[in-house]
Amino acid sequence: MKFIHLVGDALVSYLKLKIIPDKISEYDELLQSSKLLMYELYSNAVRHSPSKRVEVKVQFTLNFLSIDIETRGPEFIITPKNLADTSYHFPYPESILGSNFVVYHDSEEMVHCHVHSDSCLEFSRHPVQNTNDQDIEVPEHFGLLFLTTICNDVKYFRTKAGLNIFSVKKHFPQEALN
Amino acid sequence: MNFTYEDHSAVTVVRINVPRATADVSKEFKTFLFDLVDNQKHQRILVDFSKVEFADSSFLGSLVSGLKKSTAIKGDIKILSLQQPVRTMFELTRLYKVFEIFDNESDAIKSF
Repeated sequence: MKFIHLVGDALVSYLKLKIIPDKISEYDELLQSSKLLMYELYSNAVRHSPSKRVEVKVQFTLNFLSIDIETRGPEFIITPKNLADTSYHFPYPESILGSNFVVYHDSEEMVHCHVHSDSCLEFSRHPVQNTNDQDIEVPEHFGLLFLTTICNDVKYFRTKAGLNIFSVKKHFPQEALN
Repeated sequence: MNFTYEDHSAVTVVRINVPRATADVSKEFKTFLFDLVDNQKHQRILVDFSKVEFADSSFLGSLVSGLKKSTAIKGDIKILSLQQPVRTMFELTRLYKVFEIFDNESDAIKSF
């Protein structure tokens, strides 16, 4: 975890080169949330992988900042919050392709995992209906909530060679980019 | 020391002495809180974030673990002095609904 600050600071330095501050509202907040995004991706990669190598790829594609984090090691296991004692491992079985599972849940929001294929998952945030403020659930793991809140697109891929890729996209107004 | 504590009346004030409360120190923080609650039986804990410029989800997860441990023995954990980026994190995760947050230390101590 010793490089966590390095990668966070490196992303902010890169963004400062790419973004024209005057052309974007809430410039500081945007840098802060991007840094937070990198911390989440990097710390998740390091915590969940025995791999000594974590590859971070950052680029702008049109008006999206794309970050891919690549590691080797165990795959992402789908553990639906609404299905007790159920989990799905790579390759994700044909019977669940196209399905949505709740993988994060608190009293106001949940994160869905959509199974695109036997090797690709997509995550998205949704409001909980009939919220009751008196009944606040307190999860201890916020990573997926953070990613789906900060990013416009959050995907996970597992290659046949055993590479795990968390791929996120965050929108930036094109007129603000150098 | 990344984390220290001092007793004020019946309240234990935990000082976070790192500017970036992130995954590299979250496990240490969780152990620190658990030791206060489990072994030293501190029930009223005020966590001072005044030196923290940045916190990530891993660190907040440790804070929530500490709260659960504390409430199990009828204790409580409250929060002091959030800088704006950290306050944003509390809002994003809705932890502001779970923790009482204060800007003034003496007010926070009196609130227990």
